[in-house]
Parts: sequence; structure tokens; C-alpha cells
Amino acid sequence: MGKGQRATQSYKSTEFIEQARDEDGLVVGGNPFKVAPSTSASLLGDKAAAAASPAPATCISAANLAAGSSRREEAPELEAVPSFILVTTYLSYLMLIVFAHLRDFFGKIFYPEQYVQLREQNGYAPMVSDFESLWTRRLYGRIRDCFNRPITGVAGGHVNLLDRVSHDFNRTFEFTGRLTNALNLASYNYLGFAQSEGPCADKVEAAMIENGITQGSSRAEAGRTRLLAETEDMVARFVGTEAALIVSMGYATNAMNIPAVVGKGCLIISDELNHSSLVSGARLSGATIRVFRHNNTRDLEKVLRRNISQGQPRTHRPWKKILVVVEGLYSMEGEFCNLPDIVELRRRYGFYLFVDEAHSVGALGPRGRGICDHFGVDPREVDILMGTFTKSFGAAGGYIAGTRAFIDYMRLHSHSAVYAEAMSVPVLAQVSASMRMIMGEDREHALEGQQRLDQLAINSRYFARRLAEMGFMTMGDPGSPVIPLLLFSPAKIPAFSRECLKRNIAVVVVSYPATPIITGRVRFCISASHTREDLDYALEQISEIGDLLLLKFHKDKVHQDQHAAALKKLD
Amino acid sequence: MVLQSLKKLNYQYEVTTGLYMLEDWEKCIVNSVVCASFALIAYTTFSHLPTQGMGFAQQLASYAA
Repeated sequence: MGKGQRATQSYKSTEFIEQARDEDGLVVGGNPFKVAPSTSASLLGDKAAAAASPAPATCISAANLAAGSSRREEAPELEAVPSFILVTTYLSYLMLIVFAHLRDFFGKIFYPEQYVQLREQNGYAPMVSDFESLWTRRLYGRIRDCFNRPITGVAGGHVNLLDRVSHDFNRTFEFTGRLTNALNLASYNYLGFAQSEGPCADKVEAAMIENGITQGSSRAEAGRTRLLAETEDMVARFVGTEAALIVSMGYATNAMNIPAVVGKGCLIISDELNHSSLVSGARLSGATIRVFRHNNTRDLEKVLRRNISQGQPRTHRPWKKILVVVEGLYSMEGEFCNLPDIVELRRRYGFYLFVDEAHSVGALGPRGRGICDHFGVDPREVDILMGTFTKSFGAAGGYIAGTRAFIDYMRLHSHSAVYAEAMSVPVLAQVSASMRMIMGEDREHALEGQQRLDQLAINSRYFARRLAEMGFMTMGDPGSPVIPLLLFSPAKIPAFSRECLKRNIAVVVVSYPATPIITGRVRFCISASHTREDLDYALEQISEIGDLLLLKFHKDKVHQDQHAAALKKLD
Repeated sequence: MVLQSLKKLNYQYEVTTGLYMLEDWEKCIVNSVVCASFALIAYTTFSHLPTQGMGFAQQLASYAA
């Protein structure tokens, strides 16, 4: 069968396909890209051509692609929580807020000199609004010793915490002079490159001796050195695009580069749980911002259709550009974005896609190339790929990658390229050395990069599975190196942190402004530098703490599942 | 031994209701409010439940007959 024969057999006619639609105008049956091929197979004569799709590279990517595109509608986690926990959480917050208001009220009457910044003075308005600072003063301030703990030395698999003690309920702290060497489940050290000794550190020293420490200028003026140009090319090769631009600060990569891409008259559609750097960049740009519900492709499509049909706010003219901003891995939830579905939407509606891979580059995918590698999606399908070097590469700063024309435009128009200092030499050398090691191009340590990637994947899956088996309520997709564990009650948040510190484990607990107020959580960051003994020790201690603090909400469900599985085996 | 388990129960009570985060005098206030409520509920239960229970039983008997 030759090409000519296949072509004449391909299309019978162009008949109009009537599809059932619901009241939003969306195709019934969920994913229209699953429905459409099966009905238009009647048009195509060749069944094989209808069923063919670009095959992903490895079977891991294929499994992730299938999982991503067949993901059910997001059910909120709060449905699975025992109502006793929700009731006690609400009542505790109510009691704490009542106490906060009462203390403010009586404090301003009886101790006026302690509330100087909240009262009017000599006709001047109060410096700080007492209602807006209520959370920080009265709730966060009560448990301040669990946040911002000072550390010293390298924050690798283990970290040295400086002990401190407070005699007046966390208003002031004193250092006792002692150190605690704790297991570090708090640092973003996914591949374990936060080391002060080793091949990367040697290369950094050599680069500093050769090039000095600073670039001495912004990139546009006199800061373009050979090291920077080579590293930018390497980043582009790593991610799979044509060119890349390196920015010296991760937050500024988003905040400065989104305004260079979109402006007034454009539309930004961003996920509701995007990082504050993306929100800053979007607001700075002056574009119109619309928000869609977290990881909900259906809601994204609804928002797109509504805004494309309505146009700009008052004039109803068509939008100049539509940019959809998502993150590869959301660090507070440990969830991936639904990249295959979003890429299909992009093919259909024609918007520009911006993926922030801050947590996923170097940590996801069989070769560590990020979320495109994890799902088997071609990186050329994403218009702008952004990432940071802080998490997996043990350095600081960020990059933007895309087509050569786009990056050439950004080199001239982005404020970070023109006005900000170019990345300093030691950090750049660390990026270069660690990326070379992950890609396997470092001749003396050819296998170490892949070993680190495999170790991270194994560690994170093991930890997540064990936590779920113990009956804790964890969030996150399998394979994510960030594992949040839900705590809910405001008193369990500091209790968990202090219990962990007693047992020499350093964790990050997260509460209101960063997460919704009900779901306080503790967020474990797994690293490739954690050994199996470290993880087992941590899991033992966490299980004890979970029993002590009554955190194992799903223990009955786990038992039921195990019973069901055992019964099935007997049949 | 018993003291240990009582301490553990008290810790779990404080952590579940949010008292763990309050200073000692605030805990006293909340605990006294809770104790006063329990005392009032216990008083009304013990003083009215027997007579009301007998009353219900008599009414049910009269309906059944």
C-alpha cells in the first residue's frame, strides 16, 4: 500500500458531527479529545490513522500521560475529613480570634504604651492597622518559634539548627549557644546538590579563581561572559528548547519577565494557587487577569470561552494576546498541573502557554528534564518554559526558555536582562557543574546524575506510600518530591513542629496566608541525599507523633481497604 | 503511670481544641467556662431528668392503653 493509495482512502466526506453539549457549551462526556476521534473515525477510512497518536518516548512517560489525561474531576480533599476534625478546627479558630480581639481591646485600655503603633498619636494616624495585623500579632506571633528557625552550615540532608529559647511567649528570643543537628526535611534540596564539598564545589572554586566573583555589570552592557553564554546554551539543551535566558533571582524571573511578554489589552489566565512571583508579574504587567480553579481543565475551558467571546472589558475588542500561566509542580499541594490536557486546549484555542517549572525541573521525569519529560509532552508545545535553579541544582536564580526569536526579543526588552546584574560567577559555575552532572556529560562522574534522579524518585514514592499506609491524610501525586500532610487544627501545627524538633527532625509547617485557613499542613521535601535509614527513622517518629496528636484520619479507611484486598485475594 | 496517661489525655485535649496555643491564664479562663457549663448541664440533668423521665413513661403508658 503506497502513500497515494492511503491518501485517497483517508477522507470520505466532511459531514457535520452533532455532539451533545451541556449548558456551558462544553462537550458532554468530559474530555472532548477522547470523544472526537472515536466519532470522526467514521469519516476516516483508515482505522489505524484515526487511532495513531505521537508515541511517548518511554513507558514511564506513557503511563503518566494516561494518568494525566484520564484524571477524574478534582474532588476536594475536605470531603474525606471526619467532621469532628472540621468542627474542632473551626471552633479553635473562633476561640483564638475572640481572644485576639479581647486582648487588643483590653490592652489598648490598660497598657497603652505597648500599643503605640496601633493608636492615634498627636493627630497622626496609626502606623499599623490593628485589624490587618491581627493575624501576624496574635496568631502567628504566638507560635513564632516554629517558623524562621536560624540555621548554620550547609542545609543538606542534615542541618544544624541554632537552639533558642523564649521567656515571654515568643516576643523575644535568646540563643542558648547550642546546636541541634537535625534531619532536614525542610530544604529544597531535591537532588542533594546542596554540598560544600564534592565535584561541583571544586568546579566552583576553579571558576572563581579564573573569573573572579562578580560579573560587574548587567547582562546587556558588559556582563555577557563566555561562562554565561555557555550555561545559557546548556540550559536550553537541558530543557529541550532553542534558547534560554538566565536571570540572577528566581522571584524576579517571573516578576520582571511576564511584563515584558504581555501588557495592557492582553489577558492572563492563571491558576488560583499560583506562586506570588507569578501574581506579582501579572499585576505589574497591567494586563487583565482572570483566574481558573486549581487544576480544573474544564473550568479553564469555560473561562477561555467566556473571555474570548466577550473580548476586552469595555470595548469588546478581541484580546491582543492570551497567556495561560500554570505551574509544573505546586509546592503547597504536591500536585502536577494537567499538562497534556492544557496542551490539547492550546492546540484548539491558540493561547500562549507559560509553565513555571520552579519545583519540577531536575526533579521530575525519567531524565530529570521537568514536567514535559514526566508526561512525555514535547517541550516545543509549551511557548515559555520558566524554571529556577534553587531547588534541584543547589544554586540560585532562574531561567526563561523558548524559541530563539522569543529569547532574542527578551534579551532586549526584559528588565532583568537590561537593568539587573548578571548572575555571579560561583552561582553560575554551580549551575553549570550540576546541570552537566545531571545530563551525564561530566566524564568523571558520568553515572552520578542519573543515580541521584533515581534515588529521588524512589525516596519520594517510598515516603508517600508509607505515609498513606499509616493512615495520614497526605496530598500530592505519586512521584512528587514534595509531600504535604494535612494537620487542620491550629494547635496541631506548632505541636507537630515542636515534637519533630524534640526528635531531631526539621520540618516546615504552613498555615494561613500560604494555604487556605482550614488546611494547615506540614510539608516534607524529600531529597536524594536522604538514605533509607534516614527516611525510616523519620517515618517512625512521624508515626509516633501522629498517634500522640491524633492525626491518622484515614486509619479506618486504610484498614477497610486492606480487608477488602485480602478478601478479594481469598476469592 | 496513671499520671502519665492523664497528662497525655490533657495534651490531646489541648491540641484538639486549640488551648495549646494560649497562655496559662487564658487557659484558666477557657477551662473555667467549660467546667461551669458542664456543672450547669449536670445540675439540670440530675435535678430534672428523673421527674421528666417518669412523666414521659406515664404519657407513653396512657397512649399505649
